Amino acid sequence: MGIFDRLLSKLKRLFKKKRLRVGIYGPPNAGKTTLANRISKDWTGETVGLATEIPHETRKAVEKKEIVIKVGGSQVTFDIVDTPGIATKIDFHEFVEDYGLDEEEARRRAKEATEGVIEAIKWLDNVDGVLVVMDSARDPFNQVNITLIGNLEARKIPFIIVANKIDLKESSPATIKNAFPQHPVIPVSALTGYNMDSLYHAMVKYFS
Amino acid sequence: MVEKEEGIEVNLLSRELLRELEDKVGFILKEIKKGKVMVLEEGLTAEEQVDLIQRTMREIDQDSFIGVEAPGFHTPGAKLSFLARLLRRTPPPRMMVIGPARLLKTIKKDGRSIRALIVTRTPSGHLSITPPEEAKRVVEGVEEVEEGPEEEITVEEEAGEEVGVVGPGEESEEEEIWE
Repeated sequence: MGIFDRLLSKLKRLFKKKRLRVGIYGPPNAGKTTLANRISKDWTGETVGLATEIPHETRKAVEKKEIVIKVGGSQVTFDIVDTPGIATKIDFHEFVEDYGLDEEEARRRAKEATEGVIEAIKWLDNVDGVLVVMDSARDPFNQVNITLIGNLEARKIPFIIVANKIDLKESSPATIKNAFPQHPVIPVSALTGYNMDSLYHAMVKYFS
Repeated sequence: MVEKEEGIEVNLLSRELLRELEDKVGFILKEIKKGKVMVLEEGLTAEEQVDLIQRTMREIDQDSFIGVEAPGFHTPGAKLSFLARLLRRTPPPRMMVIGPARLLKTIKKDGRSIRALIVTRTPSGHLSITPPEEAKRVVEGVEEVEEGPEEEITVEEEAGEEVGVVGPGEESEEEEIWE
């Protein structure tokens, strides 16, 4: 290592933030909480929140602090923020008809979900990096994904696209990569833990 | 007595007109809340889209307005310019359709076409738009009729001729459905 490289390395260490706050973003049911739980469980043994098949289960952002990720001789401390799913529409009838909730509960959930979307967007001002979670069994060109990625690009917030649910037969992470070739895409199954090591390497590489 | 025709208004907004609007998102949201479908010759930027989402969430009222549906033509990654890839910037949609989520349903979209339904009746009858009093009347009316066909529109990029462009503050004399 030359003098310049050593100097650069020292400078980087000097100015490097000791803890990085990373937000987990995406549309409802992409697997954000499952991913947050997986990351937290892998490094702290604790979970972050409840993951269910009902959309908008997470309606308030939940921050899990001090997750120390150690890969390839590097160690980085992350505060992980699991954010509510971003949506352009929220209909309480969906909770009643598709998930059997009673009307009162469905209306309350819908109301909280709208507040959750606003809160998730506000959190963008306070994160150092973002994991954009996409369901690799669905069309990546939905409005939420496009809006999210466009905003991260405009705000110059580093991000990694997590092509989740690759355990599903119909999943196609290649479709996501083809849709966003200019950004890093890591295929994982947050549910089974498959390929999470690649994601941890990418988090250390791109965020720190 | 002449009965008034009923339908869903579809407005096409030209690029020039969109650029003249001081509060583009506010204008679009206001029109959508009236139950109109807007076709934008130039899609909203990412910042405008996130503004639309935030403002939409604040406006949601489960009895009258559940949000927006806004499919657009996005440039596929493989067709991004070298500069866009280098700068890591995703260009805004080239064209966009925005409407009330209860009325506009995207069936399928790709880089060349958007297929959407303009829903005129639903089996459960909870098709409604603001104001709530009017919505109540609409729902009651729907419950009395058999489930009927839904209007389907296909917007193709190549067919981007301006049809009935309506500007802010103007009202179209006839309701237009672009089929």
